[in-house]
Amino acid sequence: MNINRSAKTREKAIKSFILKCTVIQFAIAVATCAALSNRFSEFFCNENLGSALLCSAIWSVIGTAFYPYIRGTNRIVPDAQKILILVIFYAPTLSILTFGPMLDGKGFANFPKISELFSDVPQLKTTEHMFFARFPIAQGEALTAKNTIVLAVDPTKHVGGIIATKDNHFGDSKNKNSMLLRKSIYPIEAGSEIRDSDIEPHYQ
Amino acid sequence: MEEIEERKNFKRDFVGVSVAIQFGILFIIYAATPGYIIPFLNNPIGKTTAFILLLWQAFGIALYGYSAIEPKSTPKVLAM
Repeated sequence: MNINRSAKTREKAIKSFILKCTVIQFAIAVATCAALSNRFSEFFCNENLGSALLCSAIWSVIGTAFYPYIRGTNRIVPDAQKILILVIFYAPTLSILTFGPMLDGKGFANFPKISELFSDVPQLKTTEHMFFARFPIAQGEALTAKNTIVLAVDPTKHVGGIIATKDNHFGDSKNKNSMLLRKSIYPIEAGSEIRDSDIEPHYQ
Repeated sequence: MEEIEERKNFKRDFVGVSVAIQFGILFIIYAATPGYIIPFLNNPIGKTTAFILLLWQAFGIALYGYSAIEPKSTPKVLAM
């Protein structure tokens, strides 16, 4: 009888502790939102922090729901159980809620965004392949695979350059868009991008 | 005594099954169409609503599943 009674009081203590943890979690969320409303909305909209908070909240719910199924908890002292429950199921959410809004988010600039890892939307390229003059090209000289080269560059820094595609790439001289059918109108310096205005016939 | 134990087990199982179904459906939706659920969770309003509902759910589970609120009548499954 005494053993049963102590086991029940222990069980009751753990359960009331879990209830207190969920209430505190809720209260901290409301308090953080009220106290740091601007920072909280920025923090919540941050891709990494907001997603981490959501995942930790899901983890808390799973822990709360499935804790009664965990066997062998009677072997652990109630105080140790409480610490384990707090650390494993509630500490992630509480720490992100407490310290997350204080972070300015700049430190996460180089982290891959979580949406990019899980999204099936194709990502924008940051470079384009463009035609450059490998050697100085004289006026009226034909463009060949020897005097031109294709490089991957930032298109915003080489405005007006011709982007290399399957159509205009060197290998297909039978294609009317091929660069091999063009010659330069003006002298082109070595290393500079080849613009549509420098060659004839022009594209389009 | 046995009835109380059965009632507690029923609550525990009910909560466990409902949470398992909930997250199982969420996982299946994500696995089948990630492009559907991820933009919803990225939207600030969707994310905020989901977060509030999760906290509320944790609170409800702790309150109900852990017998803080006793039901007024015996569940019909146990009465059979």
